[in-house]
Amino acid sequence: MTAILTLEGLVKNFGSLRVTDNVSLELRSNECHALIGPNGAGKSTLINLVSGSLGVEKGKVVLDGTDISSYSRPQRALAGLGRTFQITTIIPGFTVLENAALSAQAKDGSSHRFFGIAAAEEALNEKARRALAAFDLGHRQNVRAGDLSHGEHRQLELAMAMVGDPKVLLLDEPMAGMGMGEGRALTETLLTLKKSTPMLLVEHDMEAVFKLADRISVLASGRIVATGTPDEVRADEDARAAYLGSEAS
Amino acid sequence: MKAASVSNPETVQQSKRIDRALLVGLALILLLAIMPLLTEFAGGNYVLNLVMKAMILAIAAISLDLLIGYGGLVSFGHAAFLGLGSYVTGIALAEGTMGALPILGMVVLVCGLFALVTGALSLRTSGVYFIMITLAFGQMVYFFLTSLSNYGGDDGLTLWDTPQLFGFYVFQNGSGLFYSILVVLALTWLFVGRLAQSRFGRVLRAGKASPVRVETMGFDIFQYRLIAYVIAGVLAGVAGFLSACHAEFISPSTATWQNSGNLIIMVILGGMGTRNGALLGALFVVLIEEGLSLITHEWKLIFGPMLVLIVLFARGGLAGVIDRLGGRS
Repeated sequence: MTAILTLEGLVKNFGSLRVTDNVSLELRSNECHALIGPNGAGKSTLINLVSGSLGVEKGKVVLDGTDISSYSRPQRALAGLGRTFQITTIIPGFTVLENAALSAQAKDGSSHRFFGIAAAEEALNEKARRALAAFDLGHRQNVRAGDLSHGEHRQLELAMAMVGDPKVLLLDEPMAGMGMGEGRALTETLLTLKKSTPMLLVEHDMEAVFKLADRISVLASGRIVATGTPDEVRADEDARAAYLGSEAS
Repeated sequence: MKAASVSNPETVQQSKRIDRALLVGLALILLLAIMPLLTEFAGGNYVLNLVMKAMILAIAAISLDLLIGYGGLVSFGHAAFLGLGSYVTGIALAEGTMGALPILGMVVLVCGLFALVTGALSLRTSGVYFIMITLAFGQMVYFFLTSLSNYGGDDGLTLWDTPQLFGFYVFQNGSGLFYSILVVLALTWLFVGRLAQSRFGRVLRAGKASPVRVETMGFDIFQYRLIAYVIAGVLAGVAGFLSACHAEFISPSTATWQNSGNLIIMVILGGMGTRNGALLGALFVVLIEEGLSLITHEWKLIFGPMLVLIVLFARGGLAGVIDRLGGRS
């Protein structure tokens, strides 16, 4: 399988603290690559470096053969990086449909249009409805997004990320704050999703990680200490010492 | 493009709310349009002048609402554009340029450029820093205007003429000026209302709630905010042009931070990010201020608590109150 996303020697410092230390990894087509590690290991920082929320100090981010290291966050999104956040970010005052339609709008020509009613653009709404239906939110499309439950916020965020058909999906702790039932349902959704969209997943829920991931990288103190299939990582001494401990057995 | 489905009850309710706001706005503009007739019976020119002043400030307030209400950008220097617009008009007239269109062109150019440069710097900050930097730019304009000794300096400048439109003195005080102001107000109200609902407006409104999310979708929110800032600056500049024609006088005090504060009060009191809020807020503030000052010298003692009560208890400002009253009927 060819790599759709390649990170080459990424370095990031916060003051004198090196939070990302020469990290290299590959995300292959139709693969879920999970990043695990203790709190403060630099997982979310790495996702932020890839999505452009943080600037890279050294190293390269290559998406589908294009070096996007110098791209801004919006440019990276348009290049094909979709993402969700540890703390869900949606537009609470918009309806569920309008949240997804706005995401569709981003990939649909110019938004510097000063006339015409955006909410009445049926082509955008149709794309949005399809994405919402895929995440079981079709029946909630006219509800104010701020009134959704936490689990539904997560689903909406995923739907928003998927509306634009991203080349790669960056998921930052999608299970955070979810109940067991909601978490399992989301895992099933992601299992379906990974068949069409490669994903880089940061997650603490090891049950979900081992179910979803084709490969896992273990981060500790900003460095990758182990990479491999779930079985390889389970058996890796460094990985167990850094993070997995008894959970892997 | 087909119209969006409105079969869902919540969508129907939202659509009704928009229609109601449109009707209220149109009714207000219609009421303003018959003001010259009404003032024939009561108040005369004094009331008509007051209404003109309120309408000019309403144009500036609507433009500020584009920033505060839709963009989440609390500019504390918006009166600078009023000042610039009125000074460009006054200086052009003093230097012998009489055509309204060339003067308006200069107003648009000066205010647009000033907004572009100051916006490009200010919009790199956010929150309280944005408030402070816009205040600083506003004060910079104020002190610049006071330094124009050839044009009255601190004292301001009386205008002995008004601009002409195709040879006619339509901007001279009277019904010509009244309806010119009304037309600009109606167009500004319509334009900002439509802009908020457009693709551009949707990105701007979303950026108010979550700039990070909007950028993650692929929108460069800085660009959208800068364009909104320039549009708002130009509209306020046009209000400054009308203000100079109406007052037949230009003064640096137009650009003070107190005036910027007044515009913010109008927007908040009327209801931020609503179709009619800024319009209602401006009319309310000017007319109530004047009405109270006729009753007592200490009118601010009544006006202050009144503002506090409205902000505390009238959620969504005056537009919100009207919306709720309409919802009950």
